Amino acid sequence: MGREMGMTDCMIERDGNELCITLGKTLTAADVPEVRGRIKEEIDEGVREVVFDFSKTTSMDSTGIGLLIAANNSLNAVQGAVRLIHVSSDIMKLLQSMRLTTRLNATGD
Amino acid sequence: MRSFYKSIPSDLSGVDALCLEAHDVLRSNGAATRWFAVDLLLREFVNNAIIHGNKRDPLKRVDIGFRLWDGWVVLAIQDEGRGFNWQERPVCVPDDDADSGRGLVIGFLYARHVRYSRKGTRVTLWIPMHEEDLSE
Repeated sequence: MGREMGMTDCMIERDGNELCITLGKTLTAADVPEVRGRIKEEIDEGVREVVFDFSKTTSMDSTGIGLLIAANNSLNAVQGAVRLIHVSSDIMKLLQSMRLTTRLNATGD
Repeated sequence: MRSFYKSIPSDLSGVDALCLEAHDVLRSNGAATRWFAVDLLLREFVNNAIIHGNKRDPLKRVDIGFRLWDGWVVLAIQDEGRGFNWQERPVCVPDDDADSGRGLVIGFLYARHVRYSRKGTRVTLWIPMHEEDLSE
């Protein structure tokens, strides 16, 4: 199991086939490129579930949503999935308006 | 303070500071409950201006006007790009597995009015200062 902080103020921890990403305050266009590359590497190395912990996250934009869907698509191709935990009510409403809460396995606080 | 104007370079790293300033203005005017919508729209449209409008050209800038006026938060965002044909862009939620194409939809969901200039280089958004249901 390893823990590390990235440039985007998120913490990444791997335990077997599960990757847990504790996001920083934002998941937006400025944050996405680094996280996307890391997820791809981890899926290539055997990760089958990626858990995004939103407990610190207050802002997300459409690029952030795109990252979650791209990760889910990549994992679905290898019988995996993403899970979103501790999602704030505002971000949950945003996901609901895009019809994505079920697809992304999103749960609130 | 009820308004500000900023001109920022085409660099995403400047967007956080902009959103913080907007937050301060909303909070000091009793409109902090609108912060999520305003933050979302600022990020969405300023990022668009930087990435798609100015193509991240360091010589080009994005101008942002922010104003509280008569019960509205009014955002105006202008880039120096070539513009785009906004009238031909569909405004609907894309397929569930599409990993792009939601920016404009978010604009129309969270702002009451979205107006583009003819060329598409300037967008103005009106957000009610009071909460409203997304389904309305």
